[in-house]
Amino acid sequence: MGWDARREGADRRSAAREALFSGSNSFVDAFPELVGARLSDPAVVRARLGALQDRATAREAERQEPLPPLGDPDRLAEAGAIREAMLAAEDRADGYERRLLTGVSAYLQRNPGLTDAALEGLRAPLLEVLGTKPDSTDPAQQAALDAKIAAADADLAALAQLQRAVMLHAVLGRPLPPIDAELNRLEDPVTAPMAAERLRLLRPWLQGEAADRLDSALAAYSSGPALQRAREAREAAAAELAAVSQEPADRSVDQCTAELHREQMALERVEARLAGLPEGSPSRDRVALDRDAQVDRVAAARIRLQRAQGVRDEGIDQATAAADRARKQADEAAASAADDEQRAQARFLSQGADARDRVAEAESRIEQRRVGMRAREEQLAQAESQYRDLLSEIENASPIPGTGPDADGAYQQIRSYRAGLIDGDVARGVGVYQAQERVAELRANHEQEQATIAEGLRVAGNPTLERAARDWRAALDKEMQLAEEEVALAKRERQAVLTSLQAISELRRVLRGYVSWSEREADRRELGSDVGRELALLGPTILARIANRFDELGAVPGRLFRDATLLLDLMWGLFWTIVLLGGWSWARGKSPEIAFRLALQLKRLRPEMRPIDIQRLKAPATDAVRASIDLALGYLMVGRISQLSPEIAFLVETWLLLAIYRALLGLFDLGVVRAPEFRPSLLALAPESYDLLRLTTRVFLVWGIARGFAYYVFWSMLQLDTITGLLMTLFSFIFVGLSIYLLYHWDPILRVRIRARNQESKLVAFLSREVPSPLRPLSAVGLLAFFVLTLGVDFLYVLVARDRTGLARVFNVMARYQMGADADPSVVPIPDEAMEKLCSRDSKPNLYVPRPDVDEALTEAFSGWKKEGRRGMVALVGDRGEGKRTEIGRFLNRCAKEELPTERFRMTTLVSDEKGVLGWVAEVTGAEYSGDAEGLVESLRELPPGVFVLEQAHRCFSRSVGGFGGISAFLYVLNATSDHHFWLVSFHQPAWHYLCAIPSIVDVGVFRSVALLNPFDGPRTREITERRSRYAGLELDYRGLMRANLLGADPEVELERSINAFYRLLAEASEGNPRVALHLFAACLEPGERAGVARVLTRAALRTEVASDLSVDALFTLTALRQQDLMALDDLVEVTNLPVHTVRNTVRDLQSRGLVENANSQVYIPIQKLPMVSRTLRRRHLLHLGA
Amino acid sequence: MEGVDDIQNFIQFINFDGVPFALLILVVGFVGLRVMGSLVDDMGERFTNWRLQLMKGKAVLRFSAYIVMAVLVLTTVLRLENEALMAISGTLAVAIGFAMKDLAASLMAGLILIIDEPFQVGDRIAFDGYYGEVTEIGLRSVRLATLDDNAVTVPNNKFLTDSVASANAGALDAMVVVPFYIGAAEDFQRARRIVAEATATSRYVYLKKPVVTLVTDEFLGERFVTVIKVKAYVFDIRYEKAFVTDVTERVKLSFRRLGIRTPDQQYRDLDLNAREAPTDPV
Repeated sequence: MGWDARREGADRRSAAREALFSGSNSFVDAFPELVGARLSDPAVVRARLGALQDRATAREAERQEPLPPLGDPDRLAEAGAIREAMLAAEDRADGYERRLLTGVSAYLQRNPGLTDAALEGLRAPLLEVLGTKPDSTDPAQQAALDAKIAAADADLAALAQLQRAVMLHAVLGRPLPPIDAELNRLEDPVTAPMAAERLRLLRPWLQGEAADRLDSALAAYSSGPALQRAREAREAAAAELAAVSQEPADRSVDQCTAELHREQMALERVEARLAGLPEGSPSRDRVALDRDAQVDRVAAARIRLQRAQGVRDEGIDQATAAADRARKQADEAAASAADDEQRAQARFLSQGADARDRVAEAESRIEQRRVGMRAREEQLAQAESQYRDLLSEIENASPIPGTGPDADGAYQQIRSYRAGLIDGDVARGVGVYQAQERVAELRANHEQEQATIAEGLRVAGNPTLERAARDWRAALDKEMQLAEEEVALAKRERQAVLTSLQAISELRRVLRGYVSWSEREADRRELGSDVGRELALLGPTILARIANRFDELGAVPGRLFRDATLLLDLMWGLFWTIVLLGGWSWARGKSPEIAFRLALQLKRLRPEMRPIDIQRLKAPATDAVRASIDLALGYLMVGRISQLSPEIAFLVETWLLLAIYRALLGLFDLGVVRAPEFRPSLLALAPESYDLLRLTTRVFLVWGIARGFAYYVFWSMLQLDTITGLLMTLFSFIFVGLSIYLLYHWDPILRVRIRARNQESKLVAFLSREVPSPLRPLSAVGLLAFFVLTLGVDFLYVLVARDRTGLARVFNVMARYQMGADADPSVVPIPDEAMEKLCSRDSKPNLYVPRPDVDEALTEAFSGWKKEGRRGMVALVGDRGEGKRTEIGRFLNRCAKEELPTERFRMTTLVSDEKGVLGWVAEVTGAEYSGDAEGLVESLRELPPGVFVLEQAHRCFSRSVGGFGGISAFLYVLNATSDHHFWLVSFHQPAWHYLCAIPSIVDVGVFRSVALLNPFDGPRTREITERRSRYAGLELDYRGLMRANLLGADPEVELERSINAFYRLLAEASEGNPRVALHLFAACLEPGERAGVARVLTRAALRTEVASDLSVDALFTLTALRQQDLMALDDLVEVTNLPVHTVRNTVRDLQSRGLVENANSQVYIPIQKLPMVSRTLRRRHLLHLGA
Repeated sequence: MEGVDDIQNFIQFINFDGVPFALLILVVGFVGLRVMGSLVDDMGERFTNWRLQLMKGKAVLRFSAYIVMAVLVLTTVLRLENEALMAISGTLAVAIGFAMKDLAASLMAGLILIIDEPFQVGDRIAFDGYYGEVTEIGLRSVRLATLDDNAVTVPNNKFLTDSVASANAGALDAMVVVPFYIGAAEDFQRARRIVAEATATSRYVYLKKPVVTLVTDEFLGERFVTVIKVKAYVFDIRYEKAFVTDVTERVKLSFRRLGIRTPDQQYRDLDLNAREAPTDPV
């Protein structure tokens, strides 16, 4: 299509012209087509400008033309881009020419004396000389004529050169030619007149020494030999005229006529020459003398002619000649004045018409620019939308290779498009600059034209001119308005391009995550040019932003009066800013008080804190609180201010980054303390560790903040994508460098710390060895990882010690493995006496481990019954060995203080029928019972109020058909009398859960409250075992629990950790049952080195075993026993519904395994085996109701 | 001739060097699966609570192992380059596709069964007149062990189109419904309490879920009877029938002890009374 060739040609022209304007190119190379043009003629300049405008119009029309039907949208878009680039290049090239011609036009208007028309008087005689035809065959005359023609030619050329040089000097600031040559020409009589004229024209543009030299040369010329010769010639002519009458009349009429004609012709030439000389011309006096001399010669010739024709009176002839001459001069002056006036009027009207024409042209140009602007905006939006869709497709594409869109291709398109935007004149602000320059030139021209208008009105003063002047002024105003509108359009176009550029840059940034390595490599190759583009754009972007911001701010006062919403927003913004500033100031003032209150809150969590601790915390806490307030309120303000003023928001943002630094450092100072200072803190460090840690914190904070700031400025504000990427890479390198530096300094400190740990560990020994200096950072990384690991393990230990979750079980397995709990060395038991005392049922106050929840439940129920007459019926639920009797004993002791009758009874056998149970109740309470539950109720009510404790109420039912009559009647009677008596009934925990699961048969919901004895965790197990051990006279030695730790550890910490792990295992093995725990604990003791000392060891007793290879019948039997705790063989048969012989055989088998014991014809599970049986039954899903 | 050419083409894409390795994969895979199966079964017996989850894991693992083994064997034995796939065309490909159609359908159905879980290994399901425990969900079929200890094999794809009922739907416990019929004139409240107590005291009952008894009057043939239906959960689906037996045994013993008659007994007594009525002096 030739677009590329056109674009290349335009680019070449632009480059040459740009070089001309920057002073590095010649006019001939930049504007070869203007070399022969008469730029000193305003009409030619205007014609050139008109041609430029025509070309711009044609280009705009070409821009609007539809593209050739290429079919493929991508190719179509590519063709559009090529055409647009070509047209833009031509716009740019013509812009330079327009700039030149506009400047020339303004120059000519300001300097009318340098126009061709003004210099016509000087040029005319020279042209006449050039037009002289040789009419002599005399070689000498011919040579003289040739020399004259050559001189005239040289003068004409010199004049043209002078005009151009002055014009280029005025328009482009080019230097003027040296004047030495012209000064030399002043010495030559032939060349001196024209040289003097040229120097006169040059004089206003010279300054300093050159001007002085010129002035003195012209002065010398004006009063020099030429003038003297002219005077002498004038005197000679006058003398000739005076002597003419004395001459002999020997000439013929023809001769005299020819002489007169020659002299008259010479006079006309001289007069014409005089008329052509401008005012101030250094030749004017001389030429005037020549004219006077020539007038005398004409007069003399005329007298000679008259004398040849006949004798005439000389006086009359002279008077006639003088009168003719005066009349002629007057006529000529009048005609000249009239011509001048007409020319002035015509020029005035012509200039006014030119102004109107310019306005029409400008209107047409602006309209085209508007159309182009809209098209450009649509084009930008379309491209942006297209690339956004493409990115969306890529983001949502299937991960299967080859199925999604080509990310690399899309990236290349975006990169190319973005580069085109950045390189374009619009983004660089050339359009805006040209438009602004045009406004400035217009402003200067208008001043000149206004002066012209004023001058024209003063001279003319007729209505036609006045009307023309008004129209001219209106046209000037309109032209200025249009020029300013053009500036606004250029700014708008530039803003649109910059906004689109920003969006495209963001798309490119996102898309970069999807492109291949080769594209990234291509990016890297283009790094230099990308950075160059962004840097080239940086200046215009900043200037545009500043200019836009000033425009916006400048428009705010006006908008405030028109836009109520803006005013309201401003008021709200100011109001909230003031409020926030006030709140900020107030909160900062209150920060010591807030810090003090926080310290007091801390004391609630840590009651061991002393008042002095709180005082010591106050100062660092105040700093941290103050910095946090700065941070919080600052962020609130940023949100408000960013809407009000982005510039202030930027400052606040910067300040906030510093606030983040201060807040984090304040928290560091609060949490970490430098030894030997002593106050509550998270970490106390030796001075060198503290200093290095603080330095590390500060360094990385500063790094992070600086990185964030750079990112904010270069990306969020300036949208410099590539430069931001470069900076981020630089920051990464800085991070690595800082890390190496700090690790180098951390290495010795970490090494000293690690040496304090257990040296038995090979890992510790390996890590604590000395390394060469260059390897210190690397070694520090290993040490740091080690410390992080140990800290993590310590933290998990803390977590596990507080939690009874699946995680705890996992750690128990690990602890059991570490402590060798599965190993079973030869058992040497402690003395029997100590063993019996350790496991005895003695309940003394110093052996009691409080159960606050049980205490609270019992106390609340009892006081409610006693004081408010509420139902007194409490179930105490616990497994065997969990301390039901202990709790009952403590409760009865409290009741004794109330001076209430208390009775305590225990159900020793299984009685499940109604009469049996109620009979037993009547028997133990002393009430009367005659087979009727209601009668028993009445009888119980007649008894004085008292506290009755009935133990083992689970023996009032049998898990068989018809076995719930007793418990139902029992609960009915107790419920009916619970407002009169206080009933505390203890249940075996599995039986209780069973009863709770069959509400349609037995309703245990009649109990007002239920006190559950919860299992003990590790610390409580430790407490009860240590109390019991002291009671048994045993001093515990835990050192046997310690095992070498892979990571090494502080021995004290390791010992404490081992003890905790041991008790967690004990609690798990005993399932939280304290009596079981004591039995298992006793099995873990062996006599120590001296009397009274028992070494604690991890033994097989801590295993969480299950009973294997049990038959289904055995499992059912154990389930029944676990549920009802103690049963006779017959009851067991009834409950299991198994044949008698099966039950007998099963019990025998279980006895042989040690899982069941028999006492007083009652079968039960020994207490040590309870956890094992429970675990077994739970795993087989037989025990699913708790227990 | 075309078929012969196709077979020749096919053979040239077999990598005979890979056959030993493929055999090794198959042997190791099957032995590993067998060992894993035994291990899981043993664990399931030891940890009854986790038995069904272990069985489910085993089924998923087996299924995955089959697929992995198939892929490994195929990629080892066949040269499955693009050219090879293009070359295997014509009648041989069609024939193989046809032959494998049902197998592929069953394979996909098995995958769906594993994912959708209408039942899982260890569940008791009723399907197409069979009731039993699911013992395996394989690549091609599901295997059931009926209560009569018959092994029933059902193709996987059958389960995609027909209805299947799972008694426990992945849980170890399962609801069991046992009806008891008594004469309409009997003390049904007492009978209901006996049924409830017999259920709640059974050694097989699962009491984390409720025991419900329902009483209705119905015609049983020509006889008007009272039906006491108990709905309770057995703690392990394997003891379903044992639970029913235990409850029934206890209830019948109690009914007999307390004189609660069945409909037959009651009607027989009523008939006797009717026959003796004419001699009644009243």
